[in-house]
Amino acid sequence: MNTSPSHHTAAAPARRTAHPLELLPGFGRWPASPRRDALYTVIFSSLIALVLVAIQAMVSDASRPLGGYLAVMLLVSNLCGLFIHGGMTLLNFLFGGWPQRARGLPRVLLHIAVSVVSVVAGVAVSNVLLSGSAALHLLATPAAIVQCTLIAAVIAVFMLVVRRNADRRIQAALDAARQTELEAATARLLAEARLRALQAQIEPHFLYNTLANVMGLIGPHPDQARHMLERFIDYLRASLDTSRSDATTLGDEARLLAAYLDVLTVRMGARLRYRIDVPDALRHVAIAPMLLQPVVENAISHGLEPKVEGGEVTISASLGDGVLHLVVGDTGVGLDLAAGTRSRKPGGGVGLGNLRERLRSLYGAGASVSLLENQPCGMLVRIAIPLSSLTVYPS
Amino acid sequence: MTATTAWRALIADDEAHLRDYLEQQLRDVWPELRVVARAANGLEALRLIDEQAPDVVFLDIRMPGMTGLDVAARLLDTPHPPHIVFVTAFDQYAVQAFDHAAVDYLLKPATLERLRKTVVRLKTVQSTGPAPAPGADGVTVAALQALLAQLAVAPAAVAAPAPAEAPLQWLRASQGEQVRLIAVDEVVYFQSNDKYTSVMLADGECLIRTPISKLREQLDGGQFWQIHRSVIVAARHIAGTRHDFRGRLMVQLKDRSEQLVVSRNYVDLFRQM
Repeated sequence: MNTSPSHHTAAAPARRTAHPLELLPGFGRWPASPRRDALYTVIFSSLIALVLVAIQAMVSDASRPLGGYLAVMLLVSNLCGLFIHGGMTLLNFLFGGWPQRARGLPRVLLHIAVSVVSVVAGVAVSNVLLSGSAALHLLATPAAIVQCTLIAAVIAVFMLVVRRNADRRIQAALDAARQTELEAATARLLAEARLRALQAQIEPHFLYNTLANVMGLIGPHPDQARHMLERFIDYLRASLDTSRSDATTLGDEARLLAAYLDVLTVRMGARLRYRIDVPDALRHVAIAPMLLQPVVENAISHGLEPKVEGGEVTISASLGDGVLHLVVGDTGVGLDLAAGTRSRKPGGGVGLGNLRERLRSLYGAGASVSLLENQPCGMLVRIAIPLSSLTVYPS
Repeated sequence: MTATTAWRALIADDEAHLRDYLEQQLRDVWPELRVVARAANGLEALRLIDEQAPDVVFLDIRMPGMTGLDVAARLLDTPHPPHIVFVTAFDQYAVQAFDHAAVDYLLKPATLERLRKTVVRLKTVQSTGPAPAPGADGVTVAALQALLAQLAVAPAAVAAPAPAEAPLQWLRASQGEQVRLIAVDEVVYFQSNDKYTSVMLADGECLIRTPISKLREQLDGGQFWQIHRSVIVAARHIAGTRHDFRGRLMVQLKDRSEQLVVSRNYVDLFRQM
């Protein structure tokens, strides 16, 4: 058993602390750090003091001097800010970061509680400092409590909005990272597919066996030798052409497969029969090159070649509910579910994982591939691609 | 066999034209050789060798039923194995091994010149003594044994030490009238329902009858983790974990949007995350 599950998790960016000041344009620019956050708290508290003084100046007559009031408000506000900032830091420290992770109702309650306690404490402490009156005396005046709670609520809302924005930013960064990863994967798959296509057309076993057959046929059966060579050249030409382009048509792919299977039919004789059923209406549908060839190759090499009596390969295309269905079936040995030595191994023998990834990167999540048991024996590979993600060339 | 008796040969290849071609080439370079049997697969080759007891067998490597290497391995267990010449179109690793083990092999299509060398070699081995008793042409038999050990045993040794019973690789799920085959690699997670088990895939879901307790025994425990009495999740599909507002540990998935609860008993699995 793998005891280090961490290898399997996606790396998430380090959680950023969020500060209410980041709501103001420009302040989100500096990277978060404890020192920055402390400085931000001072600026934020002072700004609140300024706003409160400005409101006071507007609602009351201008006769009262604002200078002294500003000093008082700066003190009160900064004390409240200090308590909130310190309280949050302390709580995070004490509870192993739980306040940072909290979501939903617990988060709202936590912020309101911290704000209210801090604002009340801030006002009380400033009272003590400024007027020397007893700290608890303040709590006896309901008006003061209501005022404190209101201010605290406003601050709590500020903090919550900012935290939510920060969460969204983290999510956006994660999404962007995933997107980049997906794009990189797509490019890699395309390169792999090209490479595979190049390898497929010169698969050495196929190449040498074909040439050996031609040599064997030249003497006793020159007509068959010529036929085989012609079809082999057709296959080489078609696969070289398509592997150099980004798209081919279903008709061209069907011709390529027919040439490939004709060559194999000469070699395997009665052990291989094939049928290709692509309706004329679908021959102009554009699909990615070398999408079906590896599936057919698998059906031959893992389905029919190991079977003494051989069998049939069928390739068909059909349209239903706006989805193009491509089915490759064989009546070969099928899958040994008992996981014996001759079983088609995932990835190795069937290679569906690769095909699935390629389909997804080419045609999106709507495209799929599934493996089915064929009747009476063998397997079916069914590829489904939404027509909306395909191009149809005018005939 | 005396020096005047003609050599008798068997040719085994699943491709008829290649059998004929090799026979025709052998006629050219070794007129006194008699090809007494032709086999189209490994099983047939074994049966015909048993019936005809040829002096030399030309074995294609890739054959249905039984490969040429398998046939050779069986022959080595018999008291009077024939001389073996492997024939192959392209098997890079096997050919390297043949070279190393000094076992005779032909690459298809073989040239007459190359074939003559094989004939000379066979005749030389033969002339060193009459009727090869077991181990008489010890060099060849030993070389062949070493080669087969290398080719046949190596893959098993390279593979991870498998448990007595290999972990489950494929699932059969009925889908309408058809049976869908699902590689366990595709599965995101399993969830048990009343009588069935839901197999959740990146692009859908289907039902199987195997209960979750049975699956846990059959699946590779390193790849599939039980995180709840009724849930087994594929480790490679886990995107991360989080705590929900009730403090429960939740598993987030890469290809599906739902989140899975980790029950208290299994939380330790994620402690190191």
